[in-house]
Amino acid sequence: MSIIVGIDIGNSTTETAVARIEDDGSPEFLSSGTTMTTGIKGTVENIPGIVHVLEEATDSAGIAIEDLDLVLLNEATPVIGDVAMETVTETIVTESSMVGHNPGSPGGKGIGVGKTIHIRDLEDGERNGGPDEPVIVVVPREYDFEVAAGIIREAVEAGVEVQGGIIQGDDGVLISNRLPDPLPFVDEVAHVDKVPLDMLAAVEVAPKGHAVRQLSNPYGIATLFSLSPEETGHVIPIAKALVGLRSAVVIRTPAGDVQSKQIPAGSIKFMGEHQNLTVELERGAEAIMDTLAHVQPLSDVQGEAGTNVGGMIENVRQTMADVTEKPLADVNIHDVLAVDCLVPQQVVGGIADEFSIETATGLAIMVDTDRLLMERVAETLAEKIGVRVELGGVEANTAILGALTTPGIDVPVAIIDGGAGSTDGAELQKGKVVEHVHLAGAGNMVTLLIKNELGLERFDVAEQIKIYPLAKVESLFHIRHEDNGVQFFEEPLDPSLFARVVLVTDDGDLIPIESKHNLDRIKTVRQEAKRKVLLRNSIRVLERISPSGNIRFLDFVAIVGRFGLDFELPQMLMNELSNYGIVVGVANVRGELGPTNAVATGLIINYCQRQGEAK
Amino acid sequence: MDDDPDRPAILVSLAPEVDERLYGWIAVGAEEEGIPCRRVPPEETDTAAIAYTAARNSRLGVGIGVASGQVAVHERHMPAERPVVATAVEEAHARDTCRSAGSNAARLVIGVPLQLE
Repeated sequence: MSIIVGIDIGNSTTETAVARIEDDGSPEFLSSGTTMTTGIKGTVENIPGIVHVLEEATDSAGIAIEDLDLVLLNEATPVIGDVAMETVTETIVTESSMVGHNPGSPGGKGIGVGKTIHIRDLEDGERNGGPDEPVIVVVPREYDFEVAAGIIREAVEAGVEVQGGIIQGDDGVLISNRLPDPLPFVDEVAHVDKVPLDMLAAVEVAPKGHAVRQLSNPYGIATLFSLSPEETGHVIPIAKALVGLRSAVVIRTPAGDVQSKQIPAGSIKFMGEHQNLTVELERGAEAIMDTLAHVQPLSDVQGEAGTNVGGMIENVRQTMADVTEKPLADVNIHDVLAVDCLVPQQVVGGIADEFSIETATGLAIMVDTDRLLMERVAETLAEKIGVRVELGGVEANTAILGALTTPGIDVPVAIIDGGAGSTDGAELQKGKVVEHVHLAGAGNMVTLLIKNELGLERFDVAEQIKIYPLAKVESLFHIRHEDNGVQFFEEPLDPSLFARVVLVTDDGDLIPIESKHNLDRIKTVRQEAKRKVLLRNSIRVLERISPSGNIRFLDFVAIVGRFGLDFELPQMLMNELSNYGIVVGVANVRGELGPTNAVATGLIINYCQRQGEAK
Repeated sequence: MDDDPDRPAILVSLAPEVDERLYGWIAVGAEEEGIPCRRVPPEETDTAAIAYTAARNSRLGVGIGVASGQVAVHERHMPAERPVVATAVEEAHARDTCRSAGSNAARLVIGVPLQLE
């Protein structure tokens, strides 16, 4: 009789299973544990996390670490992944010529066109143009709304044709309400001092519930400013940046220009065992993934030097070279997942901190490591705890053994093992070699997409959006969950949560999201990110492990790892795979642990099988 | 200002000793968010109590009370002693504090996140 431990070091969590091997060679599981992985997977920095989880698991099994006879580690996690993202377009305003933004409450409504004039000059009556020329008044914060409204009212009564205004403070409604006829006012324009004076400008405030129409239409701008067809071509980026906003200003400056600049994105060269193919990054994720599929099996990838993609790929290679202490030239890229996304980017040279939506490409990249690394971890661990440590089998294969402890499961079966860094898969058929594959892109890539598409500053906020469902606080006493279910609270909620979009944690705590996006937008971004990375990679995994490359030949698929814990992914996968006639479900390791601990459990089962064969 | 007592409005109640200008600033805060408010005489002396009565009497269920150097925004479903927001009115920031109270009261009506310190 002996006591052994299986340890699975993942990109994000380290899991363990403790078992007593009976005299007949069968395992009796005593306890399991989970903790956060310390350091990058497969490095000696993992040891503190391993020791922590070992202490926890041995404790709950009622034994000490010294009582252990053998520790099994998952073998040379053959891949490490990293993610990177770059925008491929950028909007630049030279000689500020537009303001488009969404203040909470712009004043009045309609469209006004006239020459920009400082309110000081309006007051002094020192306008440059004749009295019949329409004007757009520019009001800095120093002017109180009562004062500003008074000056504008007097000017209007004196016959000046005031068409609208650009206001620094949050006073648009107040000024508009104090005029005989309401005029459109765009307010909360931060850098009002950058608005050029004595230039032709158009102000548009849409009715409540609508977005600007005239200024988001190139021909609309052309009509207001009498532009030539050639000039109309130049205003397309302006119109594009103003789509969907409630209020906007466009200023026509003689030298002014807005450019939508294409950043040289570069090309990716896929080097396969049989052929090499190159694809331009700007052709998009679809084209990149198609090209990749043509060169399989892949031996390495290079990005064009001096371009965005070159930088992204070499960064990952450098990080991995540092971690693995291998020469840069020996770090080979094993897989790439490309994803298209749209990210809000601050407009360079804007006046009201405007954002425009730019296209970006995200890449998850995976490099090979080798067995030596894991052997080093094993040696260091053995010294540290004074127990024999061995590498106990390829991760994907042990995962499938662990998954097979799920009640109601049988071979042939395929598993999808998704975590933070990679999406792995394996296929087990009776009497046949187990196929296994590791692909780039998993949970971390989803978080990165959410962070960028919602323009969030912090990674941990994006991480929370990924794992918790949303709700809207509708009153001080109730919230509406994203599935429309309503939850009532007897105690009033914190006023700071009122009307906010919140995340509902597993404990029922409400975390407000500091973002202007509404619930539907956040939900769509979250689900699309999961679709583009997790769903897509799950299909890629199944295509690669299926004997004929055709998913339809698989019958049973079990989800293990963190993918199985996601609150919506299993349902999304089920919907998608039912199209192929596949039974897919979340594994329940040892009938009690759900989708976790499959590798740690599998390590022990694998050990028992090997001992059995040896006899 | 219209005084039709049936018209839906945020009710604002100032203790007798309070500077009259404070009402004006509160009203401006509500106006920017597009919600009307109306002045009503106070029935109590405590700030939260004044605000609570105003909220109970408001057809919008939201009231503001100003007394003893404090402004409170109340909502009719809240426990009487717990205003939604209560802020000290300091001489130097009285204008901003009142405008923000008016704005928050309106935001409670229209369902927009409050502006809290």
